Amino acid sequence: MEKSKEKISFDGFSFTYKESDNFGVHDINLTIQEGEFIVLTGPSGCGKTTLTRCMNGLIPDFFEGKLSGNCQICGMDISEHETGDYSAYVGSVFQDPRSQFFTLHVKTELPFPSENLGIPMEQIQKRLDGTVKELHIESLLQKSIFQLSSGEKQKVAVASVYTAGVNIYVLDEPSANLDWGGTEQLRQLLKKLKEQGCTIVVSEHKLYYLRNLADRMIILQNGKIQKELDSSEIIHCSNDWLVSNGLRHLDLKQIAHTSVVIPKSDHTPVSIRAENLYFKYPRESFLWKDVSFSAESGDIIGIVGENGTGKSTLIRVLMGLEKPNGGKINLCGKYASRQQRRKKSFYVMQDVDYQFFAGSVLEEMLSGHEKEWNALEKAKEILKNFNLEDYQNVHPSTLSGGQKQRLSIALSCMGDMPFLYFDEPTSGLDAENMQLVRETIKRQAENGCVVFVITHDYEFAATLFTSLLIVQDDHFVKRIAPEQYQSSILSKLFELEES
Amino acid sequence: MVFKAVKPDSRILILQIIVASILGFSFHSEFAVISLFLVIDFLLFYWYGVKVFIKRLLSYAVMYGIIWGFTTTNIPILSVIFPPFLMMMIKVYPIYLLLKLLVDKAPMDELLYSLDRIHFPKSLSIPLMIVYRYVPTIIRELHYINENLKMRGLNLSLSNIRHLIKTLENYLVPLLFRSERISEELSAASLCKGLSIERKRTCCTNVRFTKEDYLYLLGMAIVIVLLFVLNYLTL
Repeated sequence: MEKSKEKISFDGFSFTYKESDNFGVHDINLTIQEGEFIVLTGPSGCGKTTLTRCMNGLIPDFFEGKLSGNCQICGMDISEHETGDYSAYVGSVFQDPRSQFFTLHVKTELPFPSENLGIPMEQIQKRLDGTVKELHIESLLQKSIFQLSSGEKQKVAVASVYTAGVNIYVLDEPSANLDWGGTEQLRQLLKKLKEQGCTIVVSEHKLYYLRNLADRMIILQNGKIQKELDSSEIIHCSNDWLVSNGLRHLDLKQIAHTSVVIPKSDHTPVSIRAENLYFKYPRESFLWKDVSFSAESGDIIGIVGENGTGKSTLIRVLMGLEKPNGGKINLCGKYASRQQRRKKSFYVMQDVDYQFFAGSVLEEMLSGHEKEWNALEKAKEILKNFNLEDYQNVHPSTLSGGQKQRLSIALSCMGDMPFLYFDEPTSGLDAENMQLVRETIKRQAENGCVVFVITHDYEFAATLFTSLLIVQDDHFVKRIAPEQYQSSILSKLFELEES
Repeated sequence: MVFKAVKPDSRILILQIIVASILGFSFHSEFAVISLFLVIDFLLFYWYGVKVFIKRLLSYAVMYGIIWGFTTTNIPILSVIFPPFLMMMIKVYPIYLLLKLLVDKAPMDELLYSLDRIHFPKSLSIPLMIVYRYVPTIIRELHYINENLKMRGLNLSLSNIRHLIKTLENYLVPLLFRSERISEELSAASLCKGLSIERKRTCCTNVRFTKEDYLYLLGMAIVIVLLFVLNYLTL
């Protein structure tokens, strides 16, 4: 067997970010050989991202701090080189597809790293032709980056570094914003790169799609390597062990199907009824038609369907942000206008950063409720219920992903909103925060709310929903009512037998 | 894959913005100012079609209509404040249209390469490109923020007009936080993709002046002369 070459090595390496007292990573000893596929995982804040930032040279050039020990990437010591020195060898793909493109069109983004490296025009053209054919992205070439789905964006991000001819791929939570189909596209792409002998490092919370690809899985905790699993250990790793170590599932088929029972609440019951709803964007065909269903207090309705079928539009119509082309919506048995629906609904977006406007968590809770006589006591009480009382004076942007999600839900309690709408609430969350968000949603349903949840995260959905709305390709929406709902329906929808 | 540089060259698209700015602010004849707008609107007709042409023409006419309305009705205070402000808008509007044309039509890699070719400092061109990249992003970010504020009844509306400063703050705070995050991520991604002030860039298309560009420049020169003559004759 040919002796493989060392591509990345950490030797007693530690790093502390500037203006921070805690280690980002501490005493790391890790060697990655050419052609290896490595998964870095662990709870939020464990040091995964810090390690990837060392591997692509962002540390210590862009993210400054104090380092000790040794870290070499392709034989270059990171303390002696700039980020750009690694760009010919290391390709990076980041978590948020929106902020990793420098240009606005696929056609210009693909050659961008090659152009920066000064590769001659003819060579770039030749490589680009090859990339487009090999990665099957012909259909994306004429698109603007804003027209791409999240899965397509990650594909373009990989394709652009692939064109530059790099051999090492460092991906930081690449599936955080991807739907089920997008994650599968990413898996196929990584498989292809692995087959070509590329060295791949993926930092991830979601593990299931990497199960059959990873050669080694490095589990980090508090900035240190806690455990290392090889490929056979990864395959045979039980979900119980993963959960006890704060990690997500590797095998989704092992998730037990349990029915969710929401006890009746003492609050005044509420209901929503949609009758023959139709929706289309101008100059386009119907996104969905003839949508009729009803739901009442305690229902947690999962909205599932493929990308682009109009799931987000459906909840936007229900909550009153979009006007349907036909049909009507009743709340508690009476017709409700868009404005009336907005007053009774709360929307938790995928990216909760858009939702915070105030200088502190407590001020955020009080925004719009200043005139209510008991607002302060109520806000403090709600924050206590959501385990956020220790953070009431901190700025919302400094909270972790899971805390932000909980604050969003707490805001809905402040306005006594009975209808809650969640759009991908678990993107980028680790196992513990995912569990916390799930418990919070269940608690809101127990308090008499009607909750709608769009998610592509099977781990999250499997033990959460009480009923389903399936947005189908044929523009119809199928309702699985609570009395018909079984969680096995969900596993069939997620096509687990093929994953 | 077809590798063809966009025509006219990005440098010409920048030049026409500079020229239009100088002409718009140096003309004293109203007729010449309107003619300059019409020339630019015909340019938009060529690039975007008749709908955009009519839309822009109507917007311009509405601005003139409002000025005429204020000056003829002589409403106290408003007739003094608004016409100069709108006159400024009328001068800036054609420049905005040409800027939009540049953002829409010039591929960013060609633009960077073209500026590099005329020895425009990279320390200026790269930040400019980031601004250019950020314009469509900021519009989207504001849209999301507005939707959230709407859901909480905190958006810019008649009922919130009394608390205008607080309402504007509601838009600005998340926008600033998002901008900070995006700019950090974008800078990190660009560095990882090899963008550097020192390194010489190449381009995947053959960016150079061709016959088409020289003809376009000639046409531009003729139009400039005609507009100057018009400005002189109609003073």
